[in-house]
Amino acid sequence: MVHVTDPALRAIEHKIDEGISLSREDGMALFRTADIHTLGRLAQTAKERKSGKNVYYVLNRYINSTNVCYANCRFCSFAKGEKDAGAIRMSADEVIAKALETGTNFNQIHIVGGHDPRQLSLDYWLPVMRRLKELVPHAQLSFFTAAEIDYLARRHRLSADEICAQLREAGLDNINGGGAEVFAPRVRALICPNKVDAARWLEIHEVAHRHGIASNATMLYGTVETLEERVDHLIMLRESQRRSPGFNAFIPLAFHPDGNELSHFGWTSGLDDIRMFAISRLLLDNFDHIKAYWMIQGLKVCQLALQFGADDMDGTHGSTDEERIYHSAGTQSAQHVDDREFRRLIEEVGYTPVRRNSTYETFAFDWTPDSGAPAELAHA
Amino acid sequence: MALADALDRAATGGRLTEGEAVRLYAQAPLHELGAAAHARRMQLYPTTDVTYVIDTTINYTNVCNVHCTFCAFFRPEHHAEGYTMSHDKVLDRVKFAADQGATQIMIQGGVNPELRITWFEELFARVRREFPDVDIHSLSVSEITGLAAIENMTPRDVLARLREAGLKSLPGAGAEILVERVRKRISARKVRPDEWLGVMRDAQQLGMPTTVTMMFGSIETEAERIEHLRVVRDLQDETHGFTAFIPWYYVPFKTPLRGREASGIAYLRTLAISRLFLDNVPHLQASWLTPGLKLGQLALFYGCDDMGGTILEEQVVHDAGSTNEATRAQLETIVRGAGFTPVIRDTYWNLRPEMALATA
Repeated sequence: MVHVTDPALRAIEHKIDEGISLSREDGMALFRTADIHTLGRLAQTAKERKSGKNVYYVLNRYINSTNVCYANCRFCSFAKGEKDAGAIRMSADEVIAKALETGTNFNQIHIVGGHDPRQLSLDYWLPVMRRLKELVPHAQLSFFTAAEIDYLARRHRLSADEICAQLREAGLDNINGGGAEVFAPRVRALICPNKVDAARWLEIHEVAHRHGIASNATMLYGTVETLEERVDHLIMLRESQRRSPGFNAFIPLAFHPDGNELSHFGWTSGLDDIRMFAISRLLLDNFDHIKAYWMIQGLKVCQLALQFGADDMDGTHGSTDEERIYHSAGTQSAQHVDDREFRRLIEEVGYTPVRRNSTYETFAFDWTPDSGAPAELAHA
Repeated sequence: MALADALDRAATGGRLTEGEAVRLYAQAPLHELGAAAHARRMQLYPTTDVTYVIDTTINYTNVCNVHCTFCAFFRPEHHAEGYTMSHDKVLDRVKFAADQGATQIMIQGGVNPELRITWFEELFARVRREFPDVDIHSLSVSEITGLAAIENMTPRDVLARLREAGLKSLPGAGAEILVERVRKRISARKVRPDEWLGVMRDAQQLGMPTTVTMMFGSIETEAERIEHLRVVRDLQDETHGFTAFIPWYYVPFKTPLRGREASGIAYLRTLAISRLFLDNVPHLQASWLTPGLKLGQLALFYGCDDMGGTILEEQVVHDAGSTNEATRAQLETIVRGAGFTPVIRDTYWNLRPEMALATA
């Protein structure tokens, strides 16, 4: 029994079933439809075609190594000037100690920071990466956004190719998806005028993919952008993935309004969140994963997102981790969700929790690196 | 397949059996359950209007002798943190709300055995005299039966006297789960299911409309939730006195019972099955206060046609750790953002378009 109340969705369903990529017009129809139940059904079907009943998550550490940043993005509540009260800049030793302070039972270290002239340099990071690879060889390094890599490249006068080669050699496994915001130049001029532009963001990911570095992609929705600009952003990602495959997951990031210059936009709505998950699943037919990052939209909405196309809930974060980007901007999410709770949340939705690393190799639940046993592939 | 047929039938107003509802609630895919509930809501109200009432809750006392384990608000008698407001203080709160356009006040508290019926009669008479445009939609069944015990009267006589004093309608609070086994565990000293329904019948027969709630997500099974819906539907067949059904979920933080919060998906599924099963209850209300504005908005696609009240002041739920607050403007923004049109109503579901926000 199928109640399709919006006829436009019938044609879209037909295209999806035929494996035809959706057009810009299709994307707009999905943003405008009031038939959210059909939208949800199509997205959930697309998710199950990609990943069956699996929902992925990672045991990880999350570190914001510096909040010193001179990009001055207007949506940001996190950045500080070097001399501001509240500026936090970790030394290399502090970063390593933080990563290891609760043991080594994790498969990923996720680090992002600011455009910090003192910290964001190869002299700082290459040794950190090499040491972590020695200390926790089973953990993948998911470091930087393309915005930070662009900064590194410019500071060291290196091409994208050269910087990616050096980072890969030092152990970089994955580039985080941040810094994409919304690709439209109009939007970037308004919300992040000093940040890497769309062409450069995409170039860095595409080059990184050719060097064997995987990556994710994001979109920050809920400020000045139009629905057309959201659709165009997704289509640009789809085209980039065709040119140089290597994106694993797309992560819709909801704008958070506390403590920044764009507060007047307020919180995104539940419907907007759910639409973003569903539409990104349907438009990004060459992305394997859509991630509902529990810290951003909250556990309740992210669980719901699993029935609207998402198949990943990101990571547990460590029990002593302090995420600061979204917590500065008003999220009410906790800092940490433990392994057992993660699995329960996924099972509650009727799906099978699957532990993964950054590149979506999967692991049995009982495997811990501390036991010295080799990573065992789970029956994903 | 039989289950799909049942869903189709309910989507167009046909009656579900309890067994069908149990199976649909457990097994129907979310999107199909939601589509059917939304179709039924659009059949009942073929309009994008979504109503809400400007109201306030005044928790006049937290002293209570019922001691429900799911409650973080109450204090036993003689507890240092117990309070009871003076009539003047309650009237101040009514004025605060009336100044902001409230048409309804919900005066609700614990069951405080020191308060006699005359205390309520005098209070209601003053509210009616000083704020004739504000409807007194107040007290719960437990407070009525509490008064009946103190005064050695029947609940019906208590209701008749309070109605005389100005009580216009009764909120559906204290229903929790109208199943004996559950009540014994979470509210052993509260009225039994048949007593709760009996007081509602009395109120409705006296001409007072009432709402009815369900608090789900504590210790009850899914089948017991459906049983709750069934006893409500049975009484409604007899009286037609319920205006709206209001499911809300148990907030476990800070309560003696503890436990886990229901998921957002469980909330939406519960709304949908309620809309489909309660074919004779006119309205289904979204409760944004506990689930938050995001789920409160999504509720509009799962059978709800009403956003409840603005609740300009609220104590009970906040004490249990819920931090959501919404102003009228916020409520209207989420209703519009979902493609619906916010419309103000009063306690009796009369539309009050003259009270629309100036920016609307």
